[in-house]
Amino acid sequence: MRDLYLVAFLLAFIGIGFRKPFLFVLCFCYIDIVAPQKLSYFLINQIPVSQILFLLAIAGWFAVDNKVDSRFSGRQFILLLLLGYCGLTTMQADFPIQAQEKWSWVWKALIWAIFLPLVLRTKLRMEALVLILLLSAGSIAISGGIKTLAGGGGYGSLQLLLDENYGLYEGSIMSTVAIAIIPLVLWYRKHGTIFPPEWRVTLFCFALVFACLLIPIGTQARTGLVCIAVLALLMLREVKHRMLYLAAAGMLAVASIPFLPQEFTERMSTIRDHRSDESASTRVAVWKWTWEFAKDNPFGGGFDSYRQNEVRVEMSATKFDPDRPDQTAPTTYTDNARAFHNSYFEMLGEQGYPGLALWLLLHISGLVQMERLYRRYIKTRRAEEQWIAPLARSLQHGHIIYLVGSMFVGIAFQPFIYMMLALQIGLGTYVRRREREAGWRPLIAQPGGSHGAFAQRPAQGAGA
Amino acid sequence: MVDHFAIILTHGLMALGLLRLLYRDDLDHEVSPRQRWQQHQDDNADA
Repeated sequence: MRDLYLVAFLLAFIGIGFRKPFLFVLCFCYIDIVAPQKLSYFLINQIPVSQILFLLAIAGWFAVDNKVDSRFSGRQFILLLLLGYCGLTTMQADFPIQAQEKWSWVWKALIWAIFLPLVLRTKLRMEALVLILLLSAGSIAISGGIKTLAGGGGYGSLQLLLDENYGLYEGSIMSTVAIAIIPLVLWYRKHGTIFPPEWRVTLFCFALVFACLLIPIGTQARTGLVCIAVLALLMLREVKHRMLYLAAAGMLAVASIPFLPQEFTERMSTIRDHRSDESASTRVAVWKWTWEFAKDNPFGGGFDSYRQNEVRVEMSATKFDPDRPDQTAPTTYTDNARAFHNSYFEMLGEQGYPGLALWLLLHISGLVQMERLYRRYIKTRRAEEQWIAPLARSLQHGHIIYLVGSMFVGIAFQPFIYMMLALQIGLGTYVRRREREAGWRPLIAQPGGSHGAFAQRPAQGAGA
Repeated sequence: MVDHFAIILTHGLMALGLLRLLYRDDLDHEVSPRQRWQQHQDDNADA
């Protein structure tokens, strides 16, 4: 049954794409996030739908889309540099076969992030992309949220639609992304035009936010709890009555503790002391190994270079636990081929200092650009510009949450985040283009319909 | 059951949103209110 409606939906999506080729772009984003070919049991799981839509989207843009308003920005150039550099490191990788496997999807994520801003040339297109991102990720979040409410969940055991660690279907990754999309959900509630603001939209948005907040509880990912704390702090920039908000948030946090599963609170308490927790101790050891590895390999070891690590971990003594009496004494053990579990060290270990520098430049420039856009447009009085500053802020907050979550999960090349980066770039180029067009206003119109002398005014900012 | 509900709800909303997009002219070509006002002024001047 699931196969039938997934196939019907996909065929309908592709069908309407032939009427409006931009919809192929949305379809590819949907397939990249939800992976219906993996959810399907037999009908479409053998068909390369992702490759087909990738080609249709790009062909549709080449053949039909108006390219006059498409702009190429500096950040797309950084993405291009990163793409080229990663290609080079893949050729010299320490583990060529595994590196080639990771490169086979990384290059697509980067190419898509470079291409996507070229098609985001109207406000409605950006809004449509936001809607598809939210509903696609929402399908996973809603499923996980309901199962968590019903008492399911547990570290590594909450099944999110797909029983496989693929893309967003991995617990820690989905924890980070679920919290990162909350600012965008709240933006859509107020500024959507496909589903304009009304009580049903508000109800759905708040329900989706609640489902997203449940994902870290259901997956018991510590990353998720840290992301929730960061989100709560970032919301301080938005709320009008900060002390009231702090008091309410604090009371809500304390009041929710009795309702949380015991395994969750026990797992979260290990955040305080990583040395008594095996997985956290191992991660810190891997990070130390990566730091030393980069000194000898400044250009990195290529994708999956963690496979050569061998770490020695010293765990401190824990409190006496009658079920595990052997763990009360300090222990030392060795482990090998442990993944980075940190995007920063992932970049350092795989792509070296140049790769890490490019990656950091890409992200920091995004945060700065969104902050500048927000400050420029927050005071605008024009009705058609009211959505710009809130979108810039929502994208920035989602980005910050991702960067914090990245400290505990290796998601340096996670495609969903690159789609959010593409949205940022698209918003920036769209606003810049509008400002330049606004500067080309004819000051004098000659009688008889011919426009004589055009005087160029400098491009105007918001509220000017 | 839960998975079916989540998929049907979100995909249904996506389908409805895509249907609405089909009938929106501003998906491919955006005309701001100020540009519309300017075009109106230009048309009046031509007339």
